[in-house]
Amino acid sequence: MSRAALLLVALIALTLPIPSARAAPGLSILSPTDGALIGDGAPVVLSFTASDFTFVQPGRVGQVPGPGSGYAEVRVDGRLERIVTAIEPIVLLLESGAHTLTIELRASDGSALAPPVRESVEVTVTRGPATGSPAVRILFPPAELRTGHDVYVGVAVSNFTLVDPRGQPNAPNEGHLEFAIDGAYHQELASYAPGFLVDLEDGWNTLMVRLVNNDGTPLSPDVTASTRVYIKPSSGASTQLFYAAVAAGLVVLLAVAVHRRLRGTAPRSPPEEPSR
Amino acid sequence: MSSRQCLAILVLAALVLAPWPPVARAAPPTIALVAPTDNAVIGGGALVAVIFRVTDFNLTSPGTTGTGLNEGYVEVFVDSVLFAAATSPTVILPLGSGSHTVLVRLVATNGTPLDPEVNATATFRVTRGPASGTPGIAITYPEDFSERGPDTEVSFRTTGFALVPPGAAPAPNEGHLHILLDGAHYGELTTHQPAAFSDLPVGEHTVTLELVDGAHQPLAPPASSTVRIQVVDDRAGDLTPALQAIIVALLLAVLVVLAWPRRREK
Repeated sequence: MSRAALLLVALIALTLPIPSARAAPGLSILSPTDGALIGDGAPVVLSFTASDFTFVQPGRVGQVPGPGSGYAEVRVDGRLERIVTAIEPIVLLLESGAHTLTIELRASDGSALAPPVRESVEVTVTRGPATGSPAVRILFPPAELRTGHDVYVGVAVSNFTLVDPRGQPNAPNEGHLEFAIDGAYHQELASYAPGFLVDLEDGWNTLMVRLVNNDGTPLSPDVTASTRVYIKPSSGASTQLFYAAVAAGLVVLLAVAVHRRLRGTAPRSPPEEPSR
Repeated sequence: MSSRQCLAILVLAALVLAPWPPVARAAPPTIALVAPTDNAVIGGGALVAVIFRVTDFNLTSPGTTGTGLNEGYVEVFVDSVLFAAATSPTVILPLGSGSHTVLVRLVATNGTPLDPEVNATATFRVTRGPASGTPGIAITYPEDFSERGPDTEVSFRTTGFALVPPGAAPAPNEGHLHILLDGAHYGELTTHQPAAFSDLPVGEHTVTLELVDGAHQPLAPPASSTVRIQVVDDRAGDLTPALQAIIVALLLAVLVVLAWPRRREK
């Protein structure tokens, strides 16, 4: 090969672009953090960032799928929730309970990248507060109260949110109330209005209020409050006894009076003549 | 001119007239609904994410200058009412309980539907209850055949069911409670409060709590629970009024006897 030819080859080689290894797309979730507890029923804001990846609208005219461009799929517990075509925060309103949030980069034709580029975090959502220990106390009736058969029960709940049980999963610091009388389940309440217990048995009754999960199971540790009330027996019996005694006395009085009258009005036999 | 010359001229003409580089004619655009799927049940009263995919269609904002068939935006209809004009593949819908139909269709940038129309539709149901499972109810208080006063209450626990006020369109796993006393409709419940009864006649009674949908129809399969109670009325044995009347009568009788004129002995 002549020197000129070698020079030409060298020039051509210099003008050609140097093949460089394209960086693999990257993805990371900024928030929420793995294991986060999101309280007060707040929406979950999923923030993420991607690198070496261009977001495009999938399905454009003449689009050629490539490893460095496409879109992202957001899944909650495996269910597709969003198709994302830009890096922006995603607001998710989730049911109470534990959830897995997954975001995955996809090529513009919907196929997974090779190797797949995805990130996941586990979060727990609750309608209750995110921090604090639940507690309950009975405001009314006070201990040892002597009362009638129907009793209002007022309670104060802290660090716990009452929600209607409707088949939703359990979540920290949310659930409802359960009332028990002498240890036996009586009723459940999901409102902050006082409970009303009717037709309680005469004598001492122990009222217990327990915080329970959405599925009715006790919290761990168990959170309860109790009070003891005395249900006064109906006053009807003693009153009736008194009236019955008075009536009986009157019957006796009447009998005596009648007897005396009858004795007083009965014709008497003439007195016998004294013997001479 | 020979046939070979004619062919050469035709080839040359074709080469000259044809655009260069050759332009691939865009395929007809399509749209498909990814979510929700047809006949899906969306539970928990959640927001509904409508997700669609388009092909050969460039999504642009309404009103922009388009180039033709393959550019525009997506109209989202909910129950035949236009809800949104979408330029991204996800639209969030706040929907009430019941059955809904979503239709998405491609429209040109000037708002006219494509010709032929390109659309996709799905019918699904939204419920405030859980999306799956079988609802149940159990009476938890009082025990069967227990003695109660004329004023009493019956407590219950539901599973897999959301209690909501009646009147809404029927939806899976949500509704309210019908209270039946001795087989007759006594009342309704929409909260987790006990069923309250007052002035029940003395004797045995049957209380049934039944789950019904928003149109007051029993669920399929039916879900109900029954308890029998023996009402014992303390007031039924209250003899106070009768005793009071007897006392008054006796007093009068005593007075009459005492006032009766005593015969004087002659």
